[in-house]
Amino acid sequence: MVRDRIARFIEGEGHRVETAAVGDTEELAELVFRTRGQTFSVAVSDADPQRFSLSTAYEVPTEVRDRTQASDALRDVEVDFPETRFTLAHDDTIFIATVEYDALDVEAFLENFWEIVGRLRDSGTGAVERMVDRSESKAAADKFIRQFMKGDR
Amino acid sequence: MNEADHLVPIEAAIEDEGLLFTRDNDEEALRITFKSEGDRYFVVGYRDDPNFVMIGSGWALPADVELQEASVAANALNVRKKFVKTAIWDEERDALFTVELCVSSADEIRPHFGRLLDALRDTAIEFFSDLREDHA
Repeated sequence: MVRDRIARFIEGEGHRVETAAVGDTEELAELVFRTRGQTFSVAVSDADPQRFSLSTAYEVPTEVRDRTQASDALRDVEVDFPETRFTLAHDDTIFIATVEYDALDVEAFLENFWEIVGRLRDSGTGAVERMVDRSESKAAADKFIRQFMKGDR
Repeated sequence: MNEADHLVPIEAAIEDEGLLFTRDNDEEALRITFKSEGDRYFVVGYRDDPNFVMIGSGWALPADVELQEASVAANALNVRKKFVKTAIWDEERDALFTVELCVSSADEIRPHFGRLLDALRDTAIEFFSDLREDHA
């Protein structure tokens, strides 16, 4: 089965893998592993063995309290990483980054596996940085305006 | 677990990272090998020196790279990089990236293990990227 091939590959690359069935059917499974301190999951369906979905979740930084700010940042990062789809979840305290990957077969997917993981990681960390940057920019602007109004500038 | 096996906390650190490992001890040395994203790493300790722990990875130099330019690139990284020592093994034509630590207990390494792996990985990437730029 496709899930077994992918699980063997990830283990062969040195990572512990947990496999969990998704829903009531045997067709859909999720393979969960960790790399570089981050947990990733690969969703595979034996009914659609050429389509793979790779996901990872990040916490929305605590200084980002505004949902609009978070979703704006995610939309901006999607321009740089058009293959990644971002979804806010758990009352907007986390966001999930997902890449849907269509491959000729499972071997083609595995050939590019770590590159896809790397792109997904870059997109997620890029999104977190973008959110924080926006907070800092706003704080810097507030500071400037306060100084301006006091006549310091 | 052997009483003198002071690398046991490193096994826990590797497990924290979600990685698999194997042990390869002998009378003098304690050794752990593991992979991360397909790249191979090792941890070495000596039974007669429980305060010393070395974490590392090794890579073959590309055939078209001269030892002299590899040494220059390694030296530049040694000046700049935190934690990681880059060494060129002339005869084997290998580049070795190591972090050598002096600890009271390997437990001290556990919370920082991910950072040290990142440092090893990033240094190797920079080393080979610098060599490619020199060849471009």
